[in-house]
Amino acid sequence: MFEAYLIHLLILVVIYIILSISLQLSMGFTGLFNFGHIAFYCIGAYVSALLALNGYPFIICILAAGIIAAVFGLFLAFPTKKLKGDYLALATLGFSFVVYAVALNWVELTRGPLGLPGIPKPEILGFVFSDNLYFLILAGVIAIISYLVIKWIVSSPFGIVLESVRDDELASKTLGKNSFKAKAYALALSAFFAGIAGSLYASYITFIDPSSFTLLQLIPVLAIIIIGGLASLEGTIIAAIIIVLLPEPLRFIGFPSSVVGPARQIIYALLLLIILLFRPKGIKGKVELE
Amino acid sequence: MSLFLQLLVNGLIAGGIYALVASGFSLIYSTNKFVHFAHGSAVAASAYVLYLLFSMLGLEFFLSVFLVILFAGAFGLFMDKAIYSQLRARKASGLIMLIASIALLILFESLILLFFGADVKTINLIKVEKGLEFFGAIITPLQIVIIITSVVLLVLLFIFMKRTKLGKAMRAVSDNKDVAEIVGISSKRIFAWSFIIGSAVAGVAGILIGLEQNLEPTMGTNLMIKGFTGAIIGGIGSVPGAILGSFLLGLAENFGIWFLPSGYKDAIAFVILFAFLLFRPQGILGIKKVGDKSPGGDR
Amino acid sequence: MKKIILVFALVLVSLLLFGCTEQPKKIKVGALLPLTGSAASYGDTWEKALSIALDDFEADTNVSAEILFEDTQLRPELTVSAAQKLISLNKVTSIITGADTLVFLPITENNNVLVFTTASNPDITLKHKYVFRINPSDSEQGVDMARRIFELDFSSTAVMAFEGEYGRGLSSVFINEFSKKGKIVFSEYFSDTESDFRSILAKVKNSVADSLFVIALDNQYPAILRQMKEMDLNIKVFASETIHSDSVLTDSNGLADGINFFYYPQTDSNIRKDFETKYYTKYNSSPGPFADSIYDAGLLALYSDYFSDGNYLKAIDYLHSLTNWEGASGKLTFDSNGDPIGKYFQLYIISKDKFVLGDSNV
Repeated sequence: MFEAYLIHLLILVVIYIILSISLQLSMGFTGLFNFGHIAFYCIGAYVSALLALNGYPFIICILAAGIIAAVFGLFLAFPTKKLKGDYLALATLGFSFVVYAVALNWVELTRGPLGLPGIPKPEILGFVFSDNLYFLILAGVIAIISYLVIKWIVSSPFGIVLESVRDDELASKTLGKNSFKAKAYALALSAFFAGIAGSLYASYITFIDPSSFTLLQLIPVLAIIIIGGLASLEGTIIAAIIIVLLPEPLRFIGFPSSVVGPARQIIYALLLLIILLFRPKGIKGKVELE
Repeated sequence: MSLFLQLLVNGLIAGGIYALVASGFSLIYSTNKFVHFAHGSAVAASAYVLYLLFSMLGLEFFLSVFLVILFAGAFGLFMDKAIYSQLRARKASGLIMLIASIALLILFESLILLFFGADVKTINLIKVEKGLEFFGAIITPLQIVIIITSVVLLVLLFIFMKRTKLGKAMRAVSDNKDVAEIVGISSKRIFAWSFIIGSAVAGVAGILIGLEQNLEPTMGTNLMIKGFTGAIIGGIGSVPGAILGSFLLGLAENFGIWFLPSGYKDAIAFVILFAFLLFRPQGILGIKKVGDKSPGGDR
Repeated sequence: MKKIILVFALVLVSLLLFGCTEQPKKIKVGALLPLTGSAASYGDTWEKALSIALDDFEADTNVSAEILFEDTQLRPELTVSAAQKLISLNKVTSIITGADTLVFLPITENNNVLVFTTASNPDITLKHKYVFRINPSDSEQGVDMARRIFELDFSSTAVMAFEGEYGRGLSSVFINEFSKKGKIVFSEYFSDTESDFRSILAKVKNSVADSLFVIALDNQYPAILRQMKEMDLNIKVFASETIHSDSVLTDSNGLADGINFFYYPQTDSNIRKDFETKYYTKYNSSPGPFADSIYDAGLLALYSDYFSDGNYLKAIDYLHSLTNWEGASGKLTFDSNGDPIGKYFQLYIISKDKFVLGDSNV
């Protein structure tokens, strides 16, 4: 019984790792305070779920999830071009509210609050990943690939451009770098991996509805990247493990889920406040949250 | 015709509710220059404390109201002292304050959920009877009180900011903190007062809204989003603007659902919020000032 | 890298310390109930009913059994994760539920877990396997209600229902049937936590509807009736079986008088009387809405496991072999889909703050 639960937790850790390192790409490395990240997670989950329910193979579902989410990321880059700081955060947050409202009200497509149940487990070349252990391996492989890709991006010349946009956009522009293009790509790539995470989430839980994609879901992701430290992929991974696993002992002590649910949010909110107050650089961050 | 009037009335009622939230929020924003999202939890906490004192413990109604307003002011002050002033001391940016305020909102909302439970609660004060009728539209006395209170608040806060010493000091800190300090105004004291007064207004909001609607743990977040939208529509740095913007939002929502299913009310609000943030962040009354750090102003 | 391994190891160790030990084999069934949240009043009485079922089963068979309760808060996503936990972690052989069933049926089907439910959406048994329903589905209630409204000479109705499996299911059947002879003026949906119905009621008032079919949770009816009165909306109201709750009578202050609705008929068998007595003795109150059906669901879940030794195919055979099985909610025989044969809805009318059996040709 205990191994089964541990596997379940590890799957969540893996999904959160993908979700948070993708946010690092736009927030930590490019300085774009994209509070709308959950919207891309949501879009990816719904795209993947709808395709899977209509019989498309998993590879198509997950890639489509990423690509369509990336398109939305690109699209969001235009109107938010000139925005900065808390103001960009609020505008992108507004975007995620709109996506939530669409998921809730476009009943013909998403079935609204009834959600999409019975999402099939991934199947690749005839092998169905119905056992959780195999799903964990699949998700883990996808996470490792995502990590390697993102690491490669940030170490490349393009990554240096991103960081220069974050640190001093004016200087970067003076040197002839097209900062808007960089920001747009960063948002799109960030959204792509969020979409991938959404696809994994939908296939694992086998049911999604709009309530899984609200402001509440942003808190742990935000906590992870701030606690892990902005622009630190390693820190993010450690923080993801801590954040997902930390509230779990409560469940083992025997508290009912009506206590564990809010308690988990309380822990995340407190951790976030503590880090902001005492160690804004996070565990391994190189950059001040600014 | 009477449907039009009823929707108009419903729009004013909703607008009044949002204005109650937006006014306190806007007062805090204009003085402190950051988005205090946790204001919503002051509203929710006040409603729940009223429920605790009046419905659970059975205290007399007006005594409960008095205690709730005291509590609300203290609650706001606590958030300022415990979190915001520490962050201010290390020159945290507006973004960090925003993140902290969101964390506080979620923290208190979860605490309410933990202690009061997820089910919906009602405060039963008013006897049920047919509302008053105006040309085919119905409105209850409590709803009239809500609308009047918002308008009164608009006037009172306006006078407060323009005529009283404290109000003027707040405006001075709002315009230019450093110059205000030179003149001898303690900005720390002013910040504290803005939280006390703004949150006390949230207390009034929580009481009225708690009586009019049911209490549920997520009410703080929902009301804050609507109040924030109203403030953005009217111009976030201005209290009268926030109140007017809130009424406009209430009307837009209720006329919007004339044609759309009622479930779209929130969707209408979100789209308006997003649109304003993108294209008209200074709001309808928007006044851009040089050196203004508010959204859309020069940085 | 070393740090990551260290953290991981620490976490593993702490989980091991808290981990569960090997349990002795005993009968385990799961229950997904709205213990908190908008439907908490139902969840509470259902939990009580199930604990009595457990007591009765253990007393009768001397076998130790366990019902594992999970709180769904009437939220589909919590229902799903709770179902997954009960199945993969706790390895229950069946799940008992009173609401939100469609969302987790794909999971139980894939894992050969039986489901016993009082939920009434028709698709539950029509489109899924291993489900046994204790009460007739809304494919009947919707039709009955449409006919009743015609019987009383109303022909244009507005429908307002709370969003979700139950609200959507019942309203679709009703709208389908009613549209054959009458006019559905409009249908709107609201959230299960909604408390302000004025915009919908304003639309009703402004429309040509001569009647209103309200499908809401018990704690929403008083608010709806109150707001109707405030708005001077005098229209004939019909309700769904969720109104059959004492709290509606006490909180409505007489406003509910005259409302027609359909509910499962109450038997006066000894089993039911025993159940009521035991419930009263243990909890000092009477069983709430559908508590009798949930009690039956609990007994069936436990006994089917007991008689089949946990083998799901044998359990299904056992259940289909039952003829007129005596439960607190009536006699049960299951058809091939898992729906109960011979159970039907009856008309009730609220009169002078009581639920009274109505007279009808429906």
